[in-house]
Amino acid sequence: MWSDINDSGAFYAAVNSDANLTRWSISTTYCRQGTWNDCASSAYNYGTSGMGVFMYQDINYGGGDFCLPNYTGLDNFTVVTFNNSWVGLNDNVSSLRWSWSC
Amino acid sequence: MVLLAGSVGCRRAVGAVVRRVFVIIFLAVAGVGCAAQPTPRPSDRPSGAQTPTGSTDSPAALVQAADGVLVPDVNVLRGQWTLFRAQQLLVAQCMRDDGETYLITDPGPEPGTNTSTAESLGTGTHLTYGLQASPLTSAQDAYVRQLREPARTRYDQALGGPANEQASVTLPSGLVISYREGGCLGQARSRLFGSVQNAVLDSVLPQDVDKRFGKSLTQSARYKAALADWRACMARAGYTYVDPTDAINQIRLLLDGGTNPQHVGALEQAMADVDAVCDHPSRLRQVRAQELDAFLRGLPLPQLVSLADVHRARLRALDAVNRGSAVSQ
Repeated sequence: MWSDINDSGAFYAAVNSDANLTRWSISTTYCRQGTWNDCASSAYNYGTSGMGVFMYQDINYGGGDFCLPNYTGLDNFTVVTFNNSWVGLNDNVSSLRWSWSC
Repeated sequence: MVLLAGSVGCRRAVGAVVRRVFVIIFLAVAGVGCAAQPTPRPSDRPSGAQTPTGSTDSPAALVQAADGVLVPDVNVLRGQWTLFRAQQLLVAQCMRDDGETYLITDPGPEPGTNTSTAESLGTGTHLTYGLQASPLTSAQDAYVRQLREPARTRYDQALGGPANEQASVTLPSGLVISYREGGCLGQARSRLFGSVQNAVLDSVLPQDVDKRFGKSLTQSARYKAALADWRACMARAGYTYVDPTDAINQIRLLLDGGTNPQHVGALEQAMADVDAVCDHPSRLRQVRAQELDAFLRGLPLPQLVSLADVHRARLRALDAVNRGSAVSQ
C-alpha cells in the first residue's frame, strides 16, 4: 500500500493478515497520525499465492470492506468506497485480511 | 479504458498441455487457443460507450444471471473454492514448466451445503458460516521473498508477465482496476475465464454493483423493518449484532484472535442456527432478495449485460474445471 495515490509516497508491504494497522508506524510527513491506520491511498496486490486481500474500514475486520484480487491494483482510493458502508477508502483502511474468496 | 498488454501470450500453452490429461481435456473444453480472441470488454458497457450486442437474453434472464453473481450464497462460495484450487493447479504446473517452484495454497475444506452467508441461509441441520481462521501468512509468498535478484524478477515475470505491461478496466462507478495479463497467472485466468479481464471482473464488478445496491437498501423501509426484527430476535437469544455480516465478522475475529477453535465452532454453529430461526419471521434475506431483484430491474441494460457476462464466464470456468477433474480421477 502507498500513502499517496498513484502508488507514490511511503510504502507498506502487507505480508500477513493484519487486524490492526495502528501497529505500524509511518512518518507523520505522510500520515499525520503516524501509523498506517487510515493512511493508504493506493494499493497493489503483489501476493503470489493467488489470494485476494480484503481491506476493511475498521480495525478487527469491521465496517465496510473491499477485496482486491491477486495481481491487481487500485491507483486512486479517492474514487472507491467500501462495500456495506459507502465510506471512501482513501485514508480509511484499518485492517487487512487475505482470502481465497475474493 | 486502456488495454496496454493486448492478448495473453501463448508461449506455454502447448508445453503445458502435453503433460497432463487433465489439462488437455481442460483446454479442449474451455475452448481456449492461441488465436486472437475478440474478447468483449464489459468495462466499456457500463461507461455507455458501447451498446451490448452479444446478448440475446431476455431482461428477466439477465436479472437472474446478475442475481447469480450478486448473492454470495453457498453455491457461489463453492464455485470460488473450486476455481481457486483449479487456478492454483494451473499456475503451479505452468511455473514448474518454467523451471520455477510454486507452493500451492490450500483453501481448506470445501464449504458444505449447510453454510449460511450474510445473504443466504444454508440447508440442512447444524448450520454454519463455514469460517476458517484467516491465513496469517503464505508459504508461497515467503518462498518468493527469500529469492534474490535476478531470480526474484525472473520469478515475478514467469508468474505475472512483464511488470510494466498493465491493463486496466474501468467499472461503472468510475473505479479503475489495473492488472497484469501475462505469465502463468494470466494464462491460468484466461483458461478458466476466457480472458484475464473476465477473471478480474468476476471479483470486482459484483463488488462495484453491490455497493450501489447496498446504498439503496439503506433507503428501503421494508428492509430496515426486517433488519430491526432480525436484530430484536437475535438479541432475545443473547446475540447483539448490527446485521448478519457483523455477526460473521465477529466470529471470524474470535478465530483469528486465537480463541479455542472448538469453542468458536460451537458458538458459530449456535449463532448460525439462531440466525436461521430469526431470519424466518423477520424475512430479512427474503426482503433483501426482493429488493435486489427490484434494483437489478432498474439497472441500465449495459450493466445488466456485464453482470450476466460475469455469470456466464464463471459458469464456463466451473464447467471446464468439473469436466477436467472428472476425467483426471
